Amino acid sequence: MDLHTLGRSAASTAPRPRHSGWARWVGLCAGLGLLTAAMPAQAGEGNLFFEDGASLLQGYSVMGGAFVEGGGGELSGWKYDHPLRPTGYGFRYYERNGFITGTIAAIAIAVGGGMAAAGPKRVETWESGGYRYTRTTYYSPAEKAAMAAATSAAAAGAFGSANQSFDLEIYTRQMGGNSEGWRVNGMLFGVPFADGHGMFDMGFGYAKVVSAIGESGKYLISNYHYLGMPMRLSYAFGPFVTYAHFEWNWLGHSDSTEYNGKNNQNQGTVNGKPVASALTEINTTGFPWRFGVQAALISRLYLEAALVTPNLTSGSFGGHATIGARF
Amino acid sequence: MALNFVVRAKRSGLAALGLLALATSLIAPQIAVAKEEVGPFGLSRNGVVTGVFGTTTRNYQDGSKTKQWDGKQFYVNFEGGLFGKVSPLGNLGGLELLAAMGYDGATPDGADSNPRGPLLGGFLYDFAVGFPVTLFHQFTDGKDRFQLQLSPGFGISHIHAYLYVKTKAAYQITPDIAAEVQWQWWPGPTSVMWNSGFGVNQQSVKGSVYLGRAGSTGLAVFAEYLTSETEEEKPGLPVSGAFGGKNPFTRTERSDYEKTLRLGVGAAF
Repeated sequence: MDLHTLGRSAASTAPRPRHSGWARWVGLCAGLGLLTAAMPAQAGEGNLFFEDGASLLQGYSVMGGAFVEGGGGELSGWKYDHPLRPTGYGFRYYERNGFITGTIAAIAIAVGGGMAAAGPKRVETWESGGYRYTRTTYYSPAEKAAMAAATSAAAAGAFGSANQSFDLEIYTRQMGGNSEGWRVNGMLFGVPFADGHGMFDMGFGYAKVVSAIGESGKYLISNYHYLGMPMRLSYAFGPFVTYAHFEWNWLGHSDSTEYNGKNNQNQGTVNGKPVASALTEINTTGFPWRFGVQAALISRLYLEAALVTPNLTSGSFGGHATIGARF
Repeated sequence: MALNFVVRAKRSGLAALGLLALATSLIAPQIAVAKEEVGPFGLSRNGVVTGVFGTTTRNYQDGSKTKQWDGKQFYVNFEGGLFGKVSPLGNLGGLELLAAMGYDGATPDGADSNPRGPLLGGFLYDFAVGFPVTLFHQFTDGKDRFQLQLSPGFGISHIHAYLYVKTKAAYQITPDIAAEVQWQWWPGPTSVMWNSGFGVNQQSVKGSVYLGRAGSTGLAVFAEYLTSETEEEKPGLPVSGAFGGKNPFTRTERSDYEKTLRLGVGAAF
């Protein structure tokens, strides 16, 4: 076995067996599941083992937990058919119908609107008689007042958006695995339909995740980038919420090798000395999808599992699972 | 440090949060509706204004020498918040704001050129927005007797721009006395110091006592101890014989930065 997982310090650069992360994650899941399942139903819950799926969409709730992601998802070298598949573990904070995304959007709108109103309306430059002239025109007080009112209304609308959510995933190798980084999706607008059983969400998102995995002299480093607009179509069936989640990754349209590129390296150096090592470094993006299901058991235990693909036409698939506690 | 998007969890803090989440997820009793007089501060208040006195020490590197700035702090601190959401489990979510302004004496004296100091000399400021959510309530006679709270947020101060995670435990000792213990963590990877490539990994422990009938205007007294270290991201150490000598994961170098003790007194409402 020749597995390597790169470390952040000298002490942790030693190779780690791949199963160490799985063991921790499975242990966490088993412990949380058993302890929660052992709890008697609380008074007032109606003795429901599962919570109604529609309430997961419509109600306010916060979830903190752990996730695992692996296979041929967007973190892998799918774009260049690299066989190695990193596994990422991490922590997840998910807020549904709270304040976070709306507040961030409102602040961004207020700052942007204020800067626009304070800045020049028009700048003109021309040359005449060997001189260069510049004329700056500012907004009038009435125009500034109108812009401030529009900004205020937009910020208030964003803050008060009825159906919004915030989803933060922190990939950490503290739990094992091959990935470090983070992904955030702030769903600013949600449009309910089908009498509250369905929801279409959209917003903004960002991710940067670095993964490194090696085996038998072959090594992969993947740098995943995402900046764009997430969209999610959810529908509640009984106690379950099924969803199709798409991340319109604007960086996926980029021709820059910073976001979409591959570099093969058959020999590297350590301390100036050549070493034999087949390294493939991939900068990858994609237009990832997740097809998943969510459920809440005994009110407090949150479970989610999803099939992921970095691109609908890629033929490459992976998985993503979350277990957490709801509040 | 430059804002390194590779966020690393701090093992001890996240382990504590995980245990807190696990414990409260298992033992929290259900409450059907939000009770009256439940607030983010001292169980029942929505705002605190305090005058704060602090003594602080900051280390910095001047060439190969480690030097110190020592000084006093005087400032006015306002914290306000409101719970506006009720989860199906009976917990409450809301919004909190922090605004602080005053004087910080642990600053460069003019002879120093080190950029790791506070911005704008002795002008202390701190503004933050947070999103508190309660994890657990214990009610007695309709009054919140015991409350656990978690609050992620973000802000800027004269030291850095940051994200934070805050946890609180508050207990109503008598109808006129409430005690609150708070632990706050500003993770280094999410912190950006002004005028430098460093981040600040900062923690504080704060104990507060609220005197006066629950829910009414009363006296607030607190003591807070804050420690921090600067963080700088360095290239990862190469692994011999693997990855072509590359390591995409940066390593973090830390050094002690600040120790501050603060005492505050004011009004809670």
